[in-house]
Amino acid sequence: MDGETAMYKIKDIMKTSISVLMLSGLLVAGSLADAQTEKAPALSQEAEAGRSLYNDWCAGCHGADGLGDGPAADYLDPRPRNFVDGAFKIRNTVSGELPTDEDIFKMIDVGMPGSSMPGWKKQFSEKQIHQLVAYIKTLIDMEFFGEEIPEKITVGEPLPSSAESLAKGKELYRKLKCWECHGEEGRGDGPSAPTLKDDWGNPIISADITKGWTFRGGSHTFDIYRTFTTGLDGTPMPSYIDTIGDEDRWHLSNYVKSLSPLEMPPVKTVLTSRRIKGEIPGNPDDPIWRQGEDYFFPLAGQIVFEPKLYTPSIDSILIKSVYNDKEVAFLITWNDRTRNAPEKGKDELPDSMAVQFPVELKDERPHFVLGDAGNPVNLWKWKAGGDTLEEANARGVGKYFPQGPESQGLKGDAAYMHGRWKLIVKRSLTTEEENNDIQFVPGEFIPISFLAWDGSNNEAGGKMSLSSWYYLVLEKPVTARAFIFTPLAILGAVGLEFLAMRRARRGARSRN
Amino acid sequence: MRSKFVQVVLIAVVIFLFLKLGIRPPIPGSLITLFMAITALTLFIYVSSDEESWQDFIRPILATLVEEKRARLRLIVFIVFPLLVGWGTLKVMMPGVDPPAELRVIHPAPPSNIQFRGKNIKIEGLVNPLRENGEEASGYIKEGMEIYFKNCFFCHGDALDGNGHFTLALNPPPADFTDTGTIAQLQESYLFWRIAKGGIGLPRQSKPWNSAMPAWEENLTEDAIWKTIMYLYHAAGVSPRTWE
Repeated sequence: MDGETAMYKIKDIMKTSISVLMLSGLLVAGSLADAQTEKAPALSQEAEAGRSLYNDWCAGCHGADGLGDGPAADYLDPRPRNFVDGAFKIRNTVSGELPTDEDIFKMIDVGMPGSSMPGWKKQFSEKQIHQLVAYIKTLIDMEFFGEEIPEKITVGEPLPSSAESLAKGKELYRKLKCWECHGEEGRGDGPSAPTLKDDWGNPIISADITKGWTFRGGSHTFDIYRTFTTGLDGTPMPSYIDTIGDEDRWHLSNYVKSLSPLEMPPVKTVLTSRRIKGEIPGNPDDPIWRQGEDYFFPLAGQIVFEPKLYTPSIDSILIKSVYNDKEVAFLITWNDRTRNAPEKGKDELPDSMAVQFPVELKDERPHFVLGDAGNPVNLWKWKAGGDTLEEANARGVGKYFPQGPESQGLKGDAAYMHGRWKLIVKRSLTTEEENNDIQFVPGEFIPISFLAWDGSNNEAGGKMSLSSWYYLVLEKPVTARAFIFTPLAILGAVGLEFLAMRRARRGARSRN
Repeated sequence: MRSKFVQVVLIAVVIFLFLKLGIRPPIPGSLITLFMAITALTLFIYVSSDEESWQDFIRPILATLVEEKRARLRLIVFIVFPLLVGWGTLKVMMPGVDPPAELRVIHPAPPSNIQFRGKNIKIEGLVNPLRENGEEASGYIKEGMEIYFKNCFFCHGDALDGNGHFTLALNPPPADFTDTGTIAQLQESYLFWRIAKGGIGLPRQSKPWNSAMPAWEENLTEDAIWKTIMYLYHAAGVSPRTWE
C-alpha cells in the first residue's frame, strides 16, 4: 500500500465518523441547519438555475437541503442519497473521493437501476443536467474534502471473458469472501448479509448479483469492474484496488457478470402450461421441469390497501407450469435472502407464496389484491415451516378464509437453497367445489397472479409483494380437425382459382 | 404502378405493418384481424365506388388469369394462394396463445355526484376551490408535492411519467401525466373523482379493470387531494380543461 492510498483510507474513516457526528448534530438542531443555508454564499448563475430544478424534481426524495430526507425517503429502500456527506456510490474516482462532474451527470442522465432514481434524460436537457450538477455540488459539505480535483481511477486493459477468466473470478469470489455478504451463488444471502449497515446506520441489503438489471451503476462488465475498483462509498462494499491487481478485478468482474442473464427477462402476458404425458415430477431438478420456458413476473409492494408495504423484499418470480390429463402444476422460484420457516409456536413470520385465481371466469375480474366483495378469489398458498399448503378464498385484504380440511387438495413441496426458494404446487384440473375452486379447461384463458411474503421483512397479511393479473392457458392438444380442414381449405382454394380462370376466359372471349 | 390494384395492396400492407409493428405495446392479434377486416371492407368500397375504378382494379387480376404472357406469374399465384389459405387454416385450427382482447374505456364519463366520506360532492361544474386563493397557490403546490412523494410517485414516477419503481409489476400501467392525452385534456373535477374513488370506483365500461389505483378518500382529505391536483398540473406544465 503506498502512502497516498493510505491517506485516502484515513480520510475516509475520519469523514465517516465526522459525518455521523454532524448528522446527529443536525437532527438535534434542525433549525440551525436552516440558518446555515440562509447564510450560504451566493450561487453561480448555473447553480441557481439548478436549484430551482432541484427543488421541483429532486427534493421529493433527496430533501430540500440534500440530506436524503425528502418526504419520500422513509418509504424507500434503498434510501435516497444524502449529498451533504459527499459519499457517492457510483464514481470514477478513488474510494473516499468526491465524484467527478461527469459521474454526477451520468447518474442523473441514466438513473440508478434497482432503485427509485429514474434516468432524467427525457425530462431534462443536457444544459439542465449540468445546472443540476452545479447545484448538487454546492450541497456537499466541503469541510471533509480538499479543494484539489478528485483523483480518478486508472482503468487497465479489459480482459475478455473466457472459461479461464471465469474460473479465476470464481476462485477470487471465494478467496476474497465475497460470499460472506453476497452468498455462495450470488443471491445476496451470505451469512453477514443480515448485519449490514450503511454509513448512516441504516440496515442495507447486499446486492443480489444474479439480477444484473438491478445493479445501481449498470451491468456492463466495465461497470462491475469500476465498482470493484472504487467501492460503493457510504455502503459496506469496499474498494479492492489495494487488495487485488487490475487483472484480477477484471476476472472477478467477468465472473460476476456471468451470474446474471444479459438483461432482465421479458414480461409476457400469457403463461402457457405445457402438456406432458405421465406423472408430474415432484422434484424440481427432474428433466421435465428443465424443459420449457421460465416466465418472469415482476412484483411490487402492496400499496393499495392498509396495511401497505412500501419496501418489499421479493421483486420478481420465475414460474413454469405443466399439466397432464389429471393435474396442473407450477414450479415457482424466487430469491429470498433469508429462510424463515418457523417451527410451530415460534413467534416468527414465515416466508410464503400464493398463486391467485378468480373463483369464477367472467368479464369482471376480482380486484388483484385478494379479490373484492362481489368477486372472490381462489388462493393456493404455501407457508414455510412444516411446508403447509392451503386452499383458501378471499374477498379482499383481511377477508381471507381457508377452506375446510375436506376441501384441501393441494400437493407439493418446497426447498430452500443458497438464497432461493423452489416450490412445486399441484392440484387436480377440476374439483367438486365449483363455487370455491377454479376449474381448468385446456385452451381457456384464466387470470392468474402471484403474491409473496418475506418473513424477515415483516411481511404478512396485506403486507406483501404481488403482481397484477396475467393469463394462464393450458395449451390445447392439437386436434384431428386441423389435419382434416387444412387440406380441405387448400383444395377449396385451388377449385376457386380454376373457377375464376374459367369465368375470366369466358368473359374475355365474349368481349372479343 | 399507378394501377388501383397495386395501390390497394400497398395500402393494406402499410396498414398491417403499422398495426403489427408501429404500435407499442403490441395489440392483440384478434384486434389486428378486426382492423384488417375493416380495412378490407373500406378498400372494397373505395375500388367499387364506380365502374371505371372497379375495372381498373380487376384488370391486372383478369390479365393474370387469362393472358398467355403471364402464364408463369399465374402458375406462381396458383401455387402460392392455396398454400397461404392452408397455412391460415392450420394457424386458426392450432391451439393459439393470443389473450382475449381487453377493450376498456380509459376515460369513462364521470358521475355527476360522488359521496366523499359521506359528504355529497357535485362533480359536474366543480372547480378546484383552492385556486381562489391565488396568492397561496405556491404553498399549496409545495404541500401537494409532499403528498405526491409520500403516496403517488411509487407508481406514477418522480417525473410524473407513469414510470415509478413499482410500475413494471402493474398492468394497465399507471397514468403518465406528461402525456397530453391524460390530465391536460381533463377537468380538475375529473381528477378529483378518479383520485377519491380509485380503480374500485370505475364504472362498468372500464372493466375488466386491473387498476391498482387506491381510493384515496380513505387516506387523504378533500383539501389534500385538491393540493395534489394543483401540484400535478404545475409539475406537468399543463393547465386543466375548464367547464365551457
